[in-house]
Amino acid sequence: MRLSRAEYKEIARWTEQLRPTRQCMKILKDRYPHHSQSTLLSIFSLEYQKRTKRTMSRHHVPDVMERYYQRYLSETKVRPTAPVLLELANEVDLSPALMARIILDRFLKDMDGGMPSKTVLNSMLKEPSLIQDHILANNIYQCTINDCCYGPLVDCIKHAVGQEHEVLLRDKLMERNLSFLDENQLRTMGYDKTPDIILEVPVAVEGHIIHWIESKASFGDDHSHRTYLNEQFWSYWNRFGPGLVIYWYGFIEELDCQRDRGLDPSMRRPLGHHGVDRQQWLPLS
Amino acid sequence: MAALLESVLLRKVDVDKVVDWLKSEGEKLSFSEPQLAIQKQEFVPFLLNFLREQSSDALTNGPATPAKTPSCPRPPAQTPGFSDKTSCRSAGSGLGSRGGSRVQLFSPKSAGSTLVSGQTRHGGGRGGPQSDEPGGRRSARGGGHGRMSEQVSPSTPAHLNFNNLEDFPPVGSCPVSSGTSKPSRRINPTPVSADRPHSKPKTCFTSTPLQKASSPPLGAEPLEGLGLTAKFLNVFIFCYVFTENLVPNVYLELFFVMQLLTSRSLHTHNDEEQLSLCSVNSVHNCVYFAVKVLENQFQLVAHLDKCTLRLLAENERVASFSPDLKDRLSQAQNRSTAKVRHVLSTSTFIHSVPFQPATDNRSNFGSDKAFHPLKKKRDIFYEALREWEDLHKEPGWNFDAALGTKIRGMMSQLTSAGNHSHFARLFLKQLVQMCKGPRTSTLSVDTTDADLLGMLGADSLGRLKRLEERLIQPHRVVGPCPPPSFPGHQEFFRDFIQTKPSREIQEASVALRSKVVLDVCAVLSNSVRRRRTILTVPWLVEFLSMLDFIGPLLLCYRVALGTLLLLYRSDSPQLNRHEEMCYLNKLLLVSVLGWLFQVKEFGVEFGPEVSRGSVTSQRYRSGLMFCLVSACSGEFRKLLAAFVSGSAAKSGGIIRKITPTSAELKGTPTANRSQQKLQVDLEQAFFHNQPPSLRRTVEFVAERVGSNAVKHINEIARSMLYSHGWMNIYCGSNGSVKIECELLQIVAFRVSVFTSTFIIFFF
Repeated sequence: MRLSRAEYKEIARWTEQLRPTRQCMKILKDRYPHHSQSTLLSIFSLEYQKRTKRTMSRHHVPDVMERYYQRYLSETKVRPTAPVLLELANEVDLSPALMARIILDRFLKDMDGGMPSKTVLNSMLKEPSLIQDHILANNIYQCTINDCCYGPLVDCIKHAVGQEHEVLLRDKLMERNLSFLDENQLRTMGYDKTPDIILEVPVAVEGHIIHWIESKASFGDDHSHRTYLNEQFWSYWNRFGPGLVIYWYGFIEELDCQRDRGLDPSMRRPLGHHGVDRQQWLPLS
Repeated sequence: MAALLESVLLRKVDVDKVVDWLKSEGEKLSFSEPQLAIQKQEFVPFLLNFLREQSSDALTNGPATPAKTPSCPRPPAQTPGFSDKTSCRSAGSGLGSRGGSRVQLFSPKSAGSTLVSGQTRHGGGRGGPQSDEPGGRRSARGGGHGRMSEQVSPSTPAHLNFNNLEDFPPVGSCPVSSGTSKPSRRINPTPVSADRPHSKPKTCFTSTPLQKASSPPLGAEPLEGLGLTAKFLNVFIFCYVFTENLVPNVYLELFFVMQLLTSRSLHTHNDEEQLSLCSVNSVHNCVYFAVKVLENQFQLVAHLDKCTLRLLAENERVASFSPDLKDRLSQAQNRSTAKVRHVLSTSTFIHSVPFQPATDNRSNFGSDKAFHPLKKKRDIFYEALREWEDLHKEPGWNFDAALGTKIRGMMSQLTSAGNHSHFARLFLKQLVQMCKGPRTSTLSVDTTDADLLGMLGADSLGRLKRLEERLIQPHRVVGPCPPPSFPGHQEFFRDFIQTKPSREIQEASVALRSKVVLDVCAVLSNSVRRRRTILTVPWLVEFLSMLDFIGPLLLCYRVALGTLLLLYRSDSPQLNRHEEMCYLNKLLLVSVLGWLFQVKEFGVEFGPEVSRGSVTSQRYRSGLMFCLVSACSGEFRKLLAAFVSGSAAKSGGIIRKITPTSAELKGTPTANRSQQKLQVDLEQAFFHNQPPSLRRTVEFVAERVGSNAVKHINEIARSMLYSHGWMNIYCGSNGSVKIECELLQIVAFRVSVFTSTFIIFFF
């Protein structure tokens, strides 16, 4: 799925009003029925992360956090079974998972008196049954499962989806009898930078010769692409030459072309009979 | 000096005498005015500087041609002031120094006696400030030369220049006699038409049919009634100096002559008097001078490249001043084999040095702490390279300002010696990969060429390259002496090293300096002994031109430069004019050496003696040699083309006539050809990331298997054809077609079996 930058911006603007909830995702999907759900979710996720980065400082003030905690306490007294924390997060426009972290952190401070360790905090967020206060455990659980951008559940899903696509990629390569080394093999061989795949014999994709493949189970927008370029792609390029990035959920077609050596998203012919959808390939030559 | 020239011009001294003196071994010339004893080494630079100054107003085209004479003709015991003047002039000579920088050229005493009206006219003629300036100040500015002139005659200064009606009288007018009779400040417009009121009876002093010439834009009329004029004498001496190789750089002078040929008047104001004065008198004189020199130096001119010759032949001024020269140029154009070397900008595509697990992975490092910093270095290095590629041509971009901090920071993190060696290897590999490239060779094609070759075929590629050159080459005329430069990516690596890296690197490079990497002395003396200087000197000159300022101070380079200087001074193209090839060889040597000593201030002394005549015995095609000095030819062409387009001074641009090249393909269809190209590229890409030994092994095995296969197939085919021949006889024509098909199938099958064996063998 390749989108023009204008198209992407339009979707991004529209998502500004949405919260990271299941209901909102449904609204988004209904609004853009021609785009795949994964693409829309990925775009929303990218934009929501940007939004959170912008607004997080507003919530991370001791006074504000204290106020949230006190409100949580007072409301659970009145309605112990209601999803108080989730409602509060939506009300103040904060990711429920992040709200859960703030409240749990405050709660543990009350319990132990000192700063709770990160490991304990993370493990409790992952497994709310470890929390002694059952009402809080319930609330945190509700927050985690109702947040589609942050939280241990989302991290887990993202990781799994990434793995799945890497496996998919390896299968496709093996299907075509291409000789390659995967990330794990490269790591044992002592490579300093490891793309998902290094082709032992380079191939040409639509006229672009490629030596390596990186799989990204997300949408490629300007911001994330620039970050990947600096942190990964150029490093691969510096070692193995031109390569290919797959944004499984599509990318902005005008992505930084970097002349001859950068990204060249201009693909005119379909990739092949049963290849990955050509909309997802991005050769880095 | 000035007095000598003046005396010659005024026919006080016989020009033959001067020429004899220049020819002779004796260094000094004494003539009528006894206090003047002239050093030969001083005279030539003086003459060249004089000519430039006099013509500076008319030279609107192109840059200044420095009249500097390098250290070589400088005599051991100099007249103290003169060399100062030469160098001071060379710094600001040419266009930039117009007007104000003039110094007095002729002894005012004699000027006072003979060039009376000349003094009064300068202000008007030049529209310039000279006459307002106090003489004392001017002398001071003129440096040593001013002092020298003062000795000669301390009175008011006067100028002899091309714009001066007395020195160079208008066509057809009376030269010297007018001096005393016209004290008026007012300048009469000089009529262009032939029937001038005060023109004297005419005698043409030249054999060229100047009288026949029409007078379109420039009034190309004969210099009538003058007999041997000052102009002619100037030409005469200049040509002599030229052919005897007394000029510092032949091409520089040739460029100057072409500048004169294409000169235009700068005065385009309403002042009609000035306009007419300049356009008829000064420019006329310049062009006359240029055409005469070109005629005289035809042997040299004839060896220019085709395009330059064509531009010269088509030049309207050449045609109107000397139709004969035009014809000779047209003929020479057809004979010319000289080619201009195409220096194209290099491909922008970087091939990185591949990561080799055998040498680059974690096991090659003692610890993670040693391993990970290098990982970053590699990325920073390429980041810098990419940034340089993208931005270094932008105006105002500065290597040190943009990348200095990054590089220094990176180098300071290289802690252990092991790290240094790893980075050094990467740096060196990348350098060799980018700079050795096929681009320096004229025969092979580079990567972009290969791409285009795939698309267009060889014919169109050649045309496309020329088109590319015309589009991307800076079309500004930069002058006949392009400064030495590190071409393409070499510049990046040089700047990188010069970015004052860590102390260790500096120490290492100091240590390297003391070792002589390339023994230029031995190379040079060897080539002199084997009489192969024509092969060695051109590249050596290129190499030496890249030396930094410390280089010439090292003994090895010093000696080599001394030897080159001696070669340069002993080698005169004149010596063997009858031997065409030898003449060209020597011309090449003189040109490249002239360039080297022009662009670099080495300040070398004499090295060991080189016996004369040991220079060169090799004979080379003129095409080859002129490739090497073509940087100059390119400039000639630009200059001449700029004149044709007529926009030279204003926009600095040249109208480029471009014939579109069609991308039509010949022979193989597009798909097929691009497919083939892709296959080749893939093969290249595969080997690029493999150790080089793999490629050699594969090539060796392929060659062996291939030759065996051919032998084998040959045998089968022969035996089959043999039996086929018999069958043919027996079965008649109908059956033979079928059999033939079968045979072909069998052969094809055998070949395919072989090919697959071959492939299995590899993978």
